[in-house]
Amino acid sequence: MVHVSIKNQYITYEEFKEFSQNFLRKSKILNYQWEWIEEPKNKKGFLKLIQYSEISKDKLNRHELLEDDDEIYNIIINKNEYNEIQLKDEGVLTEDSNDIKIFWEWHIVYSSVFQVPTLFFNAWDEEHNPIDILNNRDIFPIKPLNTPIITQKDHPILGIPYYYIHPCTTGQNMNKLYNIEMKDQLTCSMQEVDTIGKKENSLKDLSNDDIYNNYIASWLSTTGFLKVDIKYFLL
Amino acid sequence: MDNKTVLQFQSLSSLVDPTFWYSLTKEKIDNIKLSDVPLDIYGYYSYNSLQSSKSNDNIKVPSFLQLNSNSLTNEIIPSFSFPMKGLLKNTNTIEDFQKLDKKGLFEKVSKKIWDSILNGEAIKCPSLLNQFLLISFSDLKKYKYYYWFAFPALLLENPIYLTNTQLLSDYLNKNELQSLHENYQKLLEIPDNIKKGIPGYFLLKKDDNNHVKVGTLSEWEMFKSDDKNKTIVGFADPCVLPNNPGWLIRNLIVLLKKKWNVSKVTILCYREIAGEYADLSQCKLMDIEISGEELSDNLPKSVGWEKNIKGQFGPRLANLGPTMDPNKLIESAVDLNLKLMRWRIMPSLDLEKISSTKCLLLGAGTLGSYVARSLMAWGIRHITFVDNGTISYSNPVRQPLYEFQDCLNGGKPKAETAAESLKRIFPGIHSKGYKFTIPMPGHSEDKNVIKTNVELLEKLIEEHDAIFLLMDSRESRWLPTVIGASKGKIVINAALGFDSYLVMRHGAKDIDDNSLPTNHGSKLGCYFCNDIVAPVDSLKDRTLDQQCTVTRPGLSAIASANAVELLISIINSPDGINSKADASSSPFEKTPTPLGLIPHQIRGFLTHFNNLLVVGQKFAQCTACSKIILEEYQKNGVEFVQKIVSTPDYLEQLTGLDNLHKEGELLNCDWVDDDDDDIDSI
Ligand SMILES: [Zn+2]
Repeated sequence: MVHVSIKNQYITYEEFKEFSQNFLRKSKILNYQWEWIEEPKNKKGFLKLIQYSEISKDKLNRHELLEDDDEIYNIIINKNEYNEIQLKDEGVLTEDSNDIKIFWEWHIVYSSVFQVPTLFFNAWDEEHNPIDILNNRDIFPIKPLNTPIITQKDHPILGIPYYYIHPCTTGQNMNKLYNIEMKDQLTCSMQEVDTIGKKENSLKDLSNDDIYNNYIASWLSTTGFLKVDIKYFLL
Repeated sequence: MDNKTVLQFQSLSSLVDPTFWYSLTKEKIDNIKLSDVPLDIYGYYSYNSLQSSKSNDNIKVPSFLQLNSNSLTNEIIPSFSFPMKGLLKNTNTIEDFQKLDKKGLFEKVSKKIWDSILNGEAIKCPSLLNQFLLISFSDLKKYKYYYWFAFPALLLENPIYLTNTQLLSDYLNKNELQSLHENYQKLLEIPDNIKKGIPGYFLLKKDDNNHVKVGTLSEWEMFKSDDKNKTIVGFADPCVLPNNPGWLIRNLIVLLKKKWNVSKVTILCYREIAGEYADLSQCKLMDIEISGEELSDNLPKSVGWEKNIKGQFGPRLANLGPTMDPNKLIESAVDLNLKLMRWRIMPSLDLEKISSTKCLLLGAGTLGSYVARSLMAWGIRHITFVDNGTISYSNPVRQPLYEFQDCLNGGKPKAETAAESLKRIFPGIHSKGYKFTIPMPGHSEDKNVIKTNVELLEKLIEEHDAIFLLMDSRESRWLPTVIGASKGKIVINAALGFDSYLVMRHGAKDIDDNSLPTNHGSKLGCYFCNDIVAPVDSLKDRTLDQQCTVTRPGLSAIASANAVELLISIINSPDGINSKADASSSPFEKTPTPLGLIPHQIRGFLTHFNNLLVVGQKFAQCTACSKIILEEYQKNGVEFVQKIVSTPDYLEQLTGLDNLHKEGELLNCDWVDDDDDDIDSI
């Protein structure tokens, strides 16, 4: 059951969990690999997605390799035998390695203070060294139109630092998104909507429950950091 | 494509989720302990590599072998993935890692693959073709993992040639594609097939009824017997490149050559985009030539060591300290808190400069305790204490770094105990304590002891950026004032009365520039500039900051907090120690720096819950910071101090204060008795 009142888009944790299950069900159909991660200790869960991108090394500010000042590493890496360890083989494709592979870990976590979902994230390189986002604000796979406030904060469930988007305006956004006529708002919030010819019909058919089934997808579209497939709203 | 080219394979890359290292660490502590017997582990690769590309058109995920928390048990295989069996050799020491017979281990895995081809096991269980090697050293104390993967690929004498590339959708029509997908799903659904990697390497052939047959490698002969359409060898391909197959087909090609002496074959790079409707548009067909004679049973050569992030052959390093090490976690939490202040309120806050400031606290009593705690809260990582005392029963309730236990058996030394206490509160702190007596004018002492202590104090002041004078006697402030002024350090002084206090910064080195305003940092006085007497043994009970002075209990925390905030304001000011001294102003007025005013002296009156900001200039005849004293000290060093200790009157002679006294114009003054106006005019 959905308990959200029409005038107020703040949700409870139970509602968040319920909406998340809906979101996961659709994600599976659409091949988006969102997962539900639950911490056994406090029984609280969140949504997680790993995304991948590449960026040229010179576009990354101050990406100091950890290896450089690790004593042990410097001992073990300086071995001549490594240069000869691999035989020559023309069957190996040599790839341009001027790019750094970046793994984005996105978490949708319920904020009990703001009573809305919040977006937490971290970015890592292949060896799981963290990327300093505050000095690299231009490397997001998708750049949001309005750059929100990004700070670091202890993850409420994992207890370790993550970047997060401050949720102070989320409640208002969600109110706007829902209170005024549904289809207009959705159109505004999602750029892709124009490309789908049949949107008019589909959106008109949405019952109230369906609307809230898409709470997470709608909310995610307001953050601007992840592209939200229009099919979430059509399924 | 008519020209044949050498077929090149995209290397497989490793991607280790931290959960793998977490579970390995746990397993090591609970079960494996010091044994370094190689372990079987499982990695996973996906044939659904393009899934993320949908969320961003430009992004394609390359070939990864992933390890995660299931890699030690292989109980849960991620969806759209097949397992790869690996041999993990984890060493207990870095020396063992160094000494590992890496080539030998690599060959061991290559031989396992080759044997599985020779004895036909790989046909029944094709995941045997994918066996890999992982060597590692886990530094469990630091949560650092040094590791190196190898994905052995057996080599043929001659290169393999690519003669033609074609989209699968150009070879199969819509119905055939659908049929292929349905039959492939059936292969996936048979129990245990995924564990054996059977759908990872398979056969297919179209017939003429819009139908595509899918079979296992064991059905090779049967597929070949029907030669109406070609037999295609498919493999689940994590690679997404248009003209290159992924690494994982290499050993299958060797198998084809060895078992069935195949010289020409079409391979299918099976690259499904899963979802609502399976999308096979990215699947590629490649016609290849495997030239050369039949293979003998001798183990072929092999390649497959992974390059590290720098593009060289060598180990990689995963540092999970920031997310696993409690010591690292508290450090980042401390920094985070301060960064929040910068992000939310004050972008100009130079946290790096603040946290790298090294602080020397002379005195580890009430003031020292509170100052240290406030410095830690500002993220300062380097705090040194000097105190000659031991902890007494009256201390713990007033001095928050000590506890009842510290008073027992005559009491622990204050300085060392304070340093230990800081480390207990925050392990990231660098803190040390020194127990010795600072040489004082009029406190006679053995000459050699004076020499040792002067030199130690000089060394400590030299090594620090900010010196706090937090002692309980006036004379003990004299020497550090002289040395601090001589070395141009920031000196912050705090002294307590019963219900009033003084917190001040000492002026910077005189620049001799008359164009500078009178409140310029270099024009400001020190603690002694305001007294017109030399510091001598204070038995006469003249000052408020002597031993056994009683103070209102809240006063020390207030004064200490002000002392620390004054230091922070100085550090964060671009002019630093030369910052102009601000006078009191209304709290509603704009301040010259984001942190606010940078006063010279703060005089607090607890009776009125009030602070006054006072500016006092350098006194030319000051017994601590005047030119003549500094020159004398710089010239004669320890000898000068020894002389002052035994004959403190010498200070007054040097500075000419004695003449002033003779003139009788000035009487004993003490800061707390002075009117503010008088101070300014001195
Ligand atoms: Zn002075």
